[in-house]
Parts: sequence; C-alpha cells; structure tokens
Amino acid sequence: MQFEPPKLKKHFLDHLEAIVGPDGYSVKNLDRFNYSRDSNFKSTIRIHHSALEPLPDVIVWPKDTRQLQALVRLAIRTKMPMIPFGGGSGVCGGTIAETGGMIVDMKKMYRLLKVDSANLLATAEAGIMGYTLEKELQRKGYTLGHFPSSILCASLGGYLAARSAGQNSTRYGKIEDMVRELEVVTGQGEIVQTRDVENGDGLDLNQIFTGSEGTLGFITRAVLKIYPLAPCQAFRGLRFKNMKTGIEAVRRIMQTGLKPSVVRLYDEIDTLLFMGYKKNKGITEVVKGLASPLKKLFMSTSLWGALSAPKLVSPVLQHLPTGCLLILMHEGVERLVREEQKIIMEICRDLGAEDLGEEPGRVWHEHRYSVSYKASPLFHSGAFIDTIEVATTWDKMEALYSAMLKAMSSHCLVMAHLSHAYPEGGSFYFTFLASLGGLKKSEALYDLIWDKGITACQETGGVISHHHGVGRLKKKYVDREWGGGAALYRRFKDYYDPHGIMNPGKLIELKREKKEKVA
Amino acid sequence: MFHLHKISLIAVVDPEMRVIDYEQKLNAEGLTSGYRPVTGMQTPLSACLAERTANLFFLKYGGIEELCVGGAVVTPQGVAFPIKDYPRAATGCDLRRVVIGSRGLLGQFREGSLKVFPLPEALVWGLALFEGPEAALEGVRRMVGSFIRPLFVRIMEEKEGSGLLRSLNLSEEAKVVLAFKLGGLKGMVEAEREAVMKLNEADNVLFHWPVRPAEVEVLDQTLIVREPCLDFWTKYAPLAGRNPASPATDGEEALKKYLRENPC
Repeated sequence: MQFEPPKLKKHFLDHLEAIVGPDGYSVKNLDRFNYSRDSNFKSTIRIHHSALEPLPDVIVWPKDTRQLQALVRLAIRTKMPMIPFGGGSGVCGGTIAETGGMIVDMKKMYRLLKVDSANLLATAEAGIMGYTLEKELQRKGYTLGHFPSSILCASLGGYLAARSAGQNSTRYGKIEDMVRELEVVTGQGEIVQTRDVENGDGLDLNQIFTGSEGTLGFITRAVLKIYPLAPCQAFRGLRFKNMKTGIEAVRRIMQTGLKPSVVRLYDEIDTLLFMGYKKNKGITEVVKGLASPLKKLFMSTSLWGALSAPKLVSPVLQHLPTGCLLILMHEGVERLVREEQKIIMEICRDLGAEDLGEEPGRVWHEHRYSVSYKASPLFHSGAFIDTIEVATTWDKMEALYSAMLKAMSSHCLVMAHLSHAYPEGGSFYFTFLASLGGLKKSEALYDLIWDKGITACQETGGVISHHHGVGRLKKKYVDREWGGGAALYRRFKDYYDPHGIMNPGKLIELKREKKEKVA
Repeated sequence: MFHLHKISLIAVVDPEMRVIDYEQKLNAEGLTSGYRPVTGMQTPLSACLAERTANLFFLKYGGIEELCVGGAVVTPQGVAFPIKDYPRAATGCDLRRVVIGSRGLLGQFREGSLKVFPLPEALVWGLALFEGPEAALEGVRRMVGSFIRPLFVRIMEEKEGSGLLRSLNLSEEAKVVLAFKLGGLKGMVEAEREAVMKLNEADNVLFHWPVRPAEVEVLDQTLIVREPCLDFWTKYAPLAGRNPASPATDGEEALKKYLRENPC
C-alpha cells in the first residue's frame, strides 16, 4: 500500500512536541494507517479490497486536560481538524479523519479518580476503558451498570460521545442517565465544567455534549452515578409463538413498572442462531435439528451461494418454526428478584410462552460480549455483515419491525431482536448479511441496504439510532430526523466550534464545513 | 388538547394545562402522571417544562425531563418544530432534554408528550425509627441502592418526628423518623416492604406500617399535600446520586449569554 506523507510543517511539529513531548505523538505510517478507521463495517469492506480510508496526519496522546487544551489552541491557530479517539469500537465511522488532521487518542487519560460511596458517584477520566472502569468499581463493591457488548474495547469518553446504552439499560439507565458532571475542552480552546441540573432549571450542558461525537469538544472527565453490586442474579428463557406475542409480553412487563436488568426478544432467525450455542440445553428437538445446519451454512463457504438469492432464502428463514426467544436477567435483593420473576412469568404464561428454564439466560450472559467478534470470519466466507439499531414507541413497534424487514430482505439476509425495553417503547437491533463482491458492488449494496432500512424506519416514525450514534454513516438522515430542531445543534456548533475543526464531517451536514487543511 | 396513547402509555397534552387537571384526567383512565411538582399541583405544565420543576415523586417516576418523550417546540425566533416521541436515541444531543429547563432560551413546548403510568395497585406508608440522622440517611441509601424506589421519602428529626408519631397515636420515642411511601403492584409492594425491613435488620430499626384510613389520611395530608416541599430536592437529591441544585457554571452562563445575543 502507498501512503501519502503527512502534510505537516516542521514548526507545527515543534509546537506539538513542546506540548506532549517526543513520545506523545506519531507521524509513522503504521500508526496513521491503524488510526484511519474504527470498527465500522464499511471500512472493513474497503480494507478487505485494499482500499484505504483517509489517513490522519498525526496521532497525539495527551496526558491531561491542560495538554489537550494546548493542543486545541494549536489546532485553532493552524486550522487543523481534530478527531477524538477512544477504544476505536465505534461502528459508524465517527473517528475517521475525513479531511486528515490530528487524531487525539485519549487513552493516556485513564484514571478512576474518585469513588464517593456516600453519594454513590464515581469520577473518571475519559480515556479509561469501559471494562477497566467496571472492574475497578466492582473491586470496591460497586457497578456502573453499563455493559455494552463493546465493553472490552470501548472507552468512557466513547460511551459519552456516542451516547451509548448498555445491555442492562432497562435497570440502570443509559449513559445520559448516569452522567452527572462533565469536563470538556471545547473547540474554542476553553475548559467547560457542566453541572447536574436535574430537578432544577438551567441549560443542561450534559445533554448537549453527550452524543455530540466530538463535534463540539473533547470530553475529558465525567462524574457518574454508580450502584452497589446486586446481591442476587437470576436468569430465564421463554419461547413465544411469534414476535407479535413476544412484543406484547415485553410491553406488558415494562409497563408494570418492573425493572429486569435485561429483556431481549429474538425473532425466528436470531432465535435459531442463539439456540445454536453448544452449551444451550433449553432447546427443543425441532430447533436442535435446524440450528446446526444453519450455523454451518453461515460459517461455511457456501454462504455466498445462500446470500446471492436473499429474495428466495429470506421468506423461508423468516417462517421457520423456531418461535421467538425471550431472555431475561434479574438483579437485586433476593426477595425482590423472586417476586419480579413470578410476576413476569404470569404475564408470559398468559400469552402462551413456553418456559425454557434458566439455561438460555445464563448462556446469553456467558456470551454477551462475544457477538461483536464473530463478524470478521464472515468476510472470509464471502459475506459482509452490519447491524442497525433503531427505536420507537410500543404502538409502532410491530410496524417498524415488519417495514424494515421487508425493505431490507430483498437484498440481504436479515434478522432482529428487541434489544432494549422501556415503559414507552424499545429498540430493535437488526443484523444483516449480504454477499461480498467487488469493492464498488459491495459498497453500493451496503449503502442500498442501509438506505432501505433507515428510510423504512423513518417512514414508520422510528429514530435512526438507539445506541450506536451517527458518525459518518447516518449523518445524511439527521436533518430529516431533527427537522427544525437541527437549528439548535447548529447554534451549539457555531458557539463551541467557531473554527470548524472539531471532528469535521460527522453527525450532521454543515453547509459551512471547511474542507481545507493548513498545518 | 389531551390525547392518550394507551398502548405506549404516552399522553399528548397542551402545556398550558395545570398539573392537577392533567392528573385528574389521567386518574379517570386508571393512570397517573407520576408528577407532583414541588411548586404545587396548580402549576401549568409549561412552567414545569421551562423550569425543570422538581418532582416530589422523582425516585419512582423520574424528573419532568425523563417524563417528557417528545412534543412540539417553538424557538425564540418563532421557528416551530416537532420532536417525535421515542424512548431513547443516540442521534447527537437530546433535543428534548436540551429545551427542558432552558426557560425558553432554546424554545418552549407548544405540545408535550409525557409518559404516564398505571395507578399503583397498592400504596403503603412506612415509618422507620432511627437513632440519628446519619443512620436514617443510610436507611434511605440502602433502599435506593437496592432499587427500592418509594414514591416519597422524608427524614424528620426530633420535634417534627415526634409530632408525627403523636398525631398517629404512636407512643415510641425516636430521634429521627424516616417516612416513606411505597407504591406499585401489590406483590412488589409487599416484597419491597419485606426487603426494607431485612435491609435494616442488623440495626434493630423499628418499623410501623400505618394502614388505617385515618392514619394514611394524616400522612398523605401532612407530608405530601400540605408540606411545602421547596427544599425537598436539596435534602434528598444526593441519596439518588444527584447533586442538589447548584449555581450555573461559568460555561453555562457563557452559553446563555451567547444564546441571548444569537437566539435560535
């Protein structure tokens, strides 16, 4: 591969070195290449065909907020784009250096600074990895309650910047519910402190910066709500005849006011894949017979053949007699866990669910982070894969599921599960697989599937992202999503990033986006 | 305007409606707003949204910013835009939570979509007698940390606490009384009641569970209906891992100034 050399002048590098020291930055091609993409699948398709994403000019590792502030001021003077980088687990291309510039890897700001057991709050730097943060908290008897499947490779800053939600969000809330205070270095080069404004008036700066994907500034530190570790955990698996009854059960469960930690409802194809796990004993003979061949199909070279005719294959798979699996996880004081399970079982039995015991729930828990790492082998089988996570209210849930399935399944194999549930609605998580052809053909097919899926979502009143964020991937849909409300974000952007250097090309189309780069 | 989506448990309301009228409409349908603004039930919803008025029942139902799931907004420059109803999104900043509490600086709600809840199947008052305020605070912390979310909690020190006990004809002497009200499904409320006692078992905390209608009336009237609750948030916010209202930071003031000079 040939790399364009970085377009940096010596006096810029001198300034940079004065701020972060000789070991605090890199212009090596290997580093520039490694930081040219995150975990988004369009980049994976491109790299599979030896096509590069735009390369950053330099990667910088600041050690503290003051260093970062000095970097932003240098970038303002030199009109250098700046892109924050946490764990690189993003799947929307939010950290791609679209116009080159400076990748700021936050991982040297990794400390858990304080655990306030009286008020159940933790303060940490943004570069701490999610798993490390959780492990440190658990060692002290607490939990953040934030368990995204990317926990092993995502950072706290990434959680906040991309508005993450963990698998246990039903009980513990989403990242915006956990954040109490932030420290941010804005694109003005200023350090801004936010405060907890809940139940009091004032501008909620936490909610402006959370989800801003580095387009307004760098989140450097956060104060977060924590919980004592639950003394008891319990699991359950239930099978519903179809998605309709499963959705109705989840709605009823959530609207009773109960807060199970995890509620996940899988459609027929997703159920089939789930049931294929070797350790899963809670399966019927019918599913046993089907799961293994399908798994083999997905993991074998014959996959390409199946994916070349999704119009024929999809309807067959969508009508398999597997039923729809519901996974439940309960946490808390034992007496409450038992009562919660009892009430939920009554609701599910009323809707004809079959009790599969605790094994499916335990199996899910055991494998809950592994799904993200199963995608790469599929590329070697001639397929590409991606996921689309959307959300809506209960009255639109079935319509959204059917519309997106219909819109996408002519072009790919598609399956879904209801991944997060709340009293007023929930999130559907679609996984699609399609055949990998040449670069242009694959990119066109990838874009088409996304466009079909997101258009169907918006037409049925859903929101285009529940927890992955927008990045480069979905920004063309955001104006429609926000309508006139986009003017509010643009006003924040004008204020916090007056020089247009903060993560250009992300979140929303900006007319005044500056393409030039002078360093 | 008042429209109820019973499947999603969302009410679409005219924000000029007073909270008391809104609550009565919901009660007639077997539902509740879960919202008791500390400024009183006569407050219009528009003021609650503009000022992010604290909810007396926040532990169970959340604040107004969590109750609002969508609506229609008009900016200071007169630009109107809808915010669709959704449980959660990861598309940039949360426009709902940004507008709420901005005192109109970023917009005002012309229509509000608010979460509603089934009326609690069971309601139970609990009185826990502690040796001192720190022990009582620890009692609340144990409850909240165990996800037992009462509708309401209040810690009353000596005089106030003893007065309450006397009004209920209870003879115990206690330095501090923790009063709390559990609500929800019957089975869950009973389980919570048992769990609260078990959590405090080691400290020999004495519990009373007033059930007679006259006792319940005294507690409801004294602690929820008549109580001036404006300092409520300052007292109990930390127990839910929240900071009590603190002054605006320099950064917040600077953004406000910019928005006043450059309205949306």
